[in-house]
Amino acid sequence: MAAAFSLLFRILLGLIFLFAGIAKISDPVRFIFTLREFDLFSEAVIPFMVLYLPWLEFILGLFLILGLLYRASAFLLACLNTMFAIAILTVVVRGMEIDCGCFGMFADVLKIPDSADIKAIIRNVIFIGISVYIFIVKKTLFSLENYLKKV
Amino acid sequence: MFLLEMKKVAIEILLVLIISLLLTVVYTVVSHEGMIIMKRIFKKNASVERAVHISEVDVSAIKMQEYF
Repeated sequence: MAAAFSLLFRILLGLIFLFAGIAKISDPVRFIFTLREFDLFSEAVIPFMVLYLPWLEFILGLFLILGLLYRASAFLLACLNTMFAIAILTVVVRGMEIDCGCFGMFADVLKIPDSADIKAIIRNVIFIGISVYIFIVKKTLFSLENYLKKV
Repeated sequence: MFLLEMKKVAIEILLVLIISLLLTVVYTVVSHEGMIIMKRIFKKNASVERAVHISEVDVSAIKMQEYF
């Protein structure tokens, strides 16, 4: 049962972050402006984040779906979501009204709420919970990693 | 046993980070936008005209120019 839930969560979280990564990779300019709006990061750091974060999200999502290094991916996603939640929390505390930039252009196309508010923090906390679940429950179904171990 | 498992997870985490870093480098080298951002990082001339071939200037590059 736990393995089935782990698979379900892997696919769910994997798809979300795969698309979040693709959205940011395909429109880096929008991501630059979003990061600047947060007013948290220096201009020297933003270019690194714009280049690296979308690919990290993409790889983590892909690995979760494939079930390859999925525990490490879940752990990294938990860390990443904690970072996002803290960043959005600072925005809420400062009373700013900006987009969180989580889903980039997909937010416009699919009409997904993408503002940096309490809902976004709750969403991130749920993602952290799911990631921790995948990390703690070691068993999962249909994973490439388990298949490779057997071969 | 626990320490051994944590060591294995730590190695896996490093592996994931390195793979995404490699993909980032490939994307940066291959794409025009990546090159522009890279030039910005190394504080070289970040002008769009130098980073992007004029014949291939697209909307993204123009948006980049607005940013930089």
